[in-house]
Amino acid sequence: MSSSTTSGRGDDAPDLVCVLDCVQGMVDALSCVRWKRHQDAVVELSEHGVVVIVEESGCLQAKVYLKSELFVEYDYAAEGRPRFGLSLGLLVDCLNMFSVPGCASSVEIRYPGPDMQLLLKSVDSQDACMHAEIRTRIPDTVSWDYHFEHAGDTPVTFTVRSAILKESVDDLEWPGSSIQIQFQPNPPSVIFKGEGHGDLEIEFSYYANPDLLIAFQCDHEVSYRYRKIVSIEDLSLATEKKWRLQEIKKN
Amino acid sequence: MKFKASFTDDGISLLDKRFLPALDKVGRVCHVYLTPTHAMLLHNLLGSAGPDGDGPQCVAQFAKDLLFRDYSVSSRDANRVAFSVDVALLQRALRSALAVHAQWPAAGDAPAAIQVKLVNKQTAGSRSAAPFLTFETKGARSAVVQDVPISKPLSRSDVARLQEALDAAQELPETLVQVPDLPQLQNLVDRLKNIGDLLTVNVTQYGDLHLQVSTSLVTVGSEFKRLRILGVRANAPVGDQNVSATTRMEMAVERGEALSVQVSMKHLVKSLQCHLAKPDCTFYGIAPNGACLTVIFQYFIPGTRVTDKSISFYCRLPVLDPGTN
Repeated sequence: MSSSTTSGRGDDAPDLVCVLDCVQGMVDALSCVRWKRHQDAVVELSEHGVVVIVEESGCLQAKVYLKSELFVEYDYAAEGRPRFGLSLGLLVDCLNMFSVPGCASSVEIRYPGPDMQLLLKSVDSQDACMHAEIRTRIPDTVSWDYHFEHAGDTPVTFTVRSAILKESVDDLEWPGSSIQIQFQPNPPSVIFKGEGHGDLEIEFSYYANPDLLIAFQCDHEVSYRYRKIVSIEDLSLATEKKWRLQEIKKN
Repeated sequence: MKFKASFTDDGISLLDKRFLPALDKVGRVCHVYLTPTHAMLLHNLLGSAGPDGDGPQCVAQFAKDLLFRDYSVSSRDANRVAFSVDVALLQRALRSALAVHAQWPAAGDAPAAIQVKLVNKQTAGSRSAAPFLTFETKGARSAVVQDVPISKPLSRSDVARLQEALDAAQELPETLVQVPDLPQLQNLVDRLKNIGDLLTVNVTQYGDLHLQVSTSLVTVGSEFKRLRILGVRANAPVGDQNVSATTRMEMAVERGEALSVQVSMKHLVKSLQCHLAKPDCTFYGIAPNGACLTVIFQYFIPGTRVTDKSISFYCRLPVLDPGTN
């Protein structure tokens, strides 16, 4: 497929030109992390793909990885890893435009435009053409860098079905207090504890049911306490969730 | 002031199935304007500030013989009568009249036609008489009379303004392009409206229709190319396919081969509701000097590709900022 009109690699070659043949998957993935109508996001480009990072109230961060394999064409020409900020809501709304039934076509995504915009354009449709220009911001004006430190060499992670996690977190709300998440390597399990008007403990055991914890990575016992777990509802669009728990330290 | 007529079968189903549902979506109240030759349903022609008033103008005009038999209208104002009516009420009355009408057994004599007339009557509990549009229906076992309340008939000067507005709307855009798929356009506009409230519409003489929403953060546009053209046309310049759609439109406007106007997204969404009236063709054009965006709906005589001249249906969308572009 050769759709990019200016694919010559000169000094003015864009950092990225990629073509997506169906936007729906990307729209779904990004909608998962659109927690509010006006959500800011930082986009990072690399030769491996595109990462969209959003954060909420300085305590919750989500990343959507769009690997280069997802794209029909992925032309990366930048040095370093360009980052830019934009409105996630606008990006989702614009992408949605390209999935209008009847005129669905491949979308070319290009960065940067003449004024550092993110450019979207429908390709290979002769008689109807859609285009969008989204203004980007310099990401440093937004304090994104919440330092996610590893508590050891192996990051503590687990992957669980969204529906189960959502149900558990909903249940944990009734004690009305903080929620503790405890990891045990032996036997591998994750325990959610809610304490307040009453106690509630939910244990996800790795061996109990292979469908429950799909992946589990933890080499030492560790526990974290959270005041509130937010945005689970929004993430429930995803089928699986990988949780990576670390202490969040603001710089 | 008198008006009396019987509906034709085609006429009543045209109103019930197509026009009233569409007009109901455009606005709650519409004007009914009856002249010796035509019956019209009008939206927003007497807006407070003319075409810059509060919404798109919408005109559905029918030759009297299409809708009615035994049509008689008389008034001291050149036999013209106009009043306003709640579209939903009118539709309900027609629906139930049709339901009663349908009780008539299939065999036997043809049922009596549904009659409509203008009456002035005093209702229970009120002291003065009020005007109504009365529908009389005879079914097999029942006869139903329905009174739909209407406004007082429009004054002679208002009728004159109505007629003036209609005459002014006769000026057709020089170039009209046919949008092949109205539901698809509606789908697109439904998504565009999330992005901004102001829409720039370009119509070129090459048969392009370009819709664009711009805000401080984003510009989104959609371009339909190689559409069927009515009226003035020009050949697209060679070699402009490589520039962006926005630039191409600007160049076409500069060459005088395109017009560009800004309209309210809300107005366009409303006018798109007209597709409920199931037109056979839809054309978009910009009136001379960018006075308004005109949408013309065309109907064919059933079973043919010949334009049905007894129906004229169009919308005019006020232009928000005539100075732009």
